[in-house]
Amino acid sequence: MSDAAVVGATLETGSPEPEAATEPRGVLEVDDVAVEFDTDGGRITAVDGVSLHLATGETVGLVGESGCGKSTLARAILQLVPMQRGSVRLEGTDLGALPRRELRRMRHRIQMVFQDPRGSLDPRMSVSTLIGEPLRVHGIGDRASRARAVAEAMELVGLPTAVADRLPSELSGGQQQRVGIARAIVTDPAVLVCDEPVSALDVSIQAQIINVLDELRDELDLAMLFIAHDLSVVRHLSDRVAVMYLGQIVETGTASEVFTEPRHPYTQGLITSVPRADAESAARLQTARRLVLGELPSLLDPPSGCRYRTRCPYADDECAATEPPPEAVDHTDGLHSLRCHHWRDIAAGSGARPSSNSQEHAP
Amino acid sequence: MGVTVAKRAGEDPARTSEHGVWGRLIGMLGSRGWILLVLFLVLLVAASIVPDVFAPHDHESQNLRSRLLAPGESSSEGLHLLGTDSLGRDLFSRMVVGTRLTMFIAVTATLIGAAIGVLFGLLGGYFGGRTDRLLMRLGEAQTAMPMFLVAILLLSLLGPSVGILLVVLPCLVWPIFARVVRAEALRLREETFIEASIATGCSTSTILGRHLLPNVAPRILVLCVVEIGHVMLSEAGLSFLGVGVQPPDTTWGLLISEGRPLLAVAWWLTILPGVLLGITVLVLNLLGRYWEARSGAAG
Repeated sequence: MSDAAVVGATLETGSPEPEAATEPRGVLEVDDVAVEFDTDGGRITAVDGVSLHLATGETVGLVGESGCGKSTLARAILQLVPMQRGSVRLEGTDLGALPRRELRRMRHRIQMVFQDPRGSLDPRMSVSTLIGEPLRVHGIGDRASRARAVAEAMELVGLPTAVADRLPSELSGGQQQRVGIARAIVTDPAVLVCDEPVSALDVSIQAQIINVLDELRDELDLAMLFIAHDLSVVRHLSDRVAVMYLGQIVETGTASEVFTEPRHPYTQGLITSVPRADAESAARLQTARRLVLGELPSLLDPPSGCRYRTRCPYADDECAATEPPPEAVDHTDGLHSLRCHHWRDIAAGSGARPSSNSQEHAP
Repeated sequence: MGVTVAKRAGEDPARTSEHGVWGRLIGMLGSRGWILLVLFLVLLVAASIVPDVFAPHDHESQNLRSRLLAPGESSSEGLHLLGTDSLGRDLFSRMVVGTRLTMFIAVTATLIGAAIGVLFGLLGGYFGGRTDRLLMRLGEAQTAMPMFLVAILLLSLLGPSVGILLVVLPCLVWPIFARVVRAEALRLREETFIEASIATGCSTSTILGRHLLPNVAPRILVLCVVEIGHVMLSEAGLSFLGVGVQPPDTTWGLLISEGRPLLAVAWWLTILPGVLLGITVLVLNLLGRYWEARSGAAG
């Protein structure tokens, strides 16, 4: 990751950074995006004011529990669900403001890999037809050059030429996901959004797919938004990490910072809850159990103030009263920021003692 | 037979899903039975294309000396397998020759109806909302109207002709296609691969034509087979009432109609074309349902 990329890649939630306009901007700029849905129980805000920027060649990992709005954010970026507010700029073009036809023409610059490899492939199309479809619908090249591009993409993702005429149902899960990836990169996009691309696959296959993505990113200079709930996968791939909780980004920073020195209690809980085969494991899991309490609250009735307070061992009255604004961690040039009233105290070890009483703060 | 059904059903779980008369009939077919059904249809198609090969006599040659011969009797011209009519024309030959128009009207009208129904069903199912409500109300309105009476009215106003039959008969079947296709489109549009094709940059017409249509095609084909039988019955009905096909053209329905006044003296003139029509409709139904059960098991 280049330095310029880091500078242009400030990631925050809420108010835009003052100097943002003068800085080199990212290939993908997501600003203050909110997505609302009507459900049976009422209207929910699945994504609430998320901003993040990606530079060319950069990978941002987006982590969070199921239901925190990661996939919805991905769909909002691709303009597959309508946004209530905010903007998504791809190479300087505001996708949300484009008429449908223009948006369609832009789509080959931003592509997506889906969670369910089999479901994302038309069951009646052959592998080569599927991979060639983006080229065909965007009118890129003639028949012969498209065939070459498809063969090239298949080679890049490690698909044997023998499967070109097969149907998706005749492939293994890993091969299906390789088809999904080949289809996403065949148009040489600037941005690739991967929505949990390996969580539906066998563990043995996951590493292979991760490696494919890893190589492609370097080879094609892709900006990649990698969504996952598996932290080890994210750690391996990402330059930067954003942690999402109940529709908001609660902490963001470079991958090494966030993983070695998580500041937000939720991030701390997530990271310590990763089981590891070492002596510390048991102790860490104990800590994790204290750090992330209970269940994810309902989006129908999000907690007042800090959204994490109902599960946070450090929560107090201030957390219930006011929503913590995104705050930059000192000495990181704004690269590491989080939303927590008490992170300094927690870091200093003087935060409220984690206790079972903390549940009383819940409404 | 019960044992056979149980055994067959054990082999193919798809067949247990369909109970009642159809399930039992399909059970009787076994795993190879559909070949017989297809063979029967192939014969019908062949008879439509080259009737001379199948017809033993000229279907129009009259011979008053060999009027109303019963099936199996012979005249100076030879054996009349299915007897002769009041003008001495060979019934079997007339049935063979009538096959062409019967098949042509049924197949063409079904295809026209299918085309309309599939288009409306895809649009309604994929877009939903107002488009869907409008198209489905249209279908319901038409289903609610006694279309057979409307058809009779139209045909008696405009004069019976094959052309008008090809307008009236598709109206009977398109709502059925629209309903089935709409239900499938509603289900499919929630699939990730449709979302993926939007993300890829496919236009709506590409999604409808290249993704939705191929995925509903097997069901449409099955429905076509069944509906051809129904359209055939409707055409026979209209022809029987005198507002369908007119002589000297002939269809099975018209043969039934022509035989009706003589039912007491020459039963074969009405019954035999009727039996042929009945068997054909049954075969089409069985084949359609058999394929449906099979594709249900595969998918």
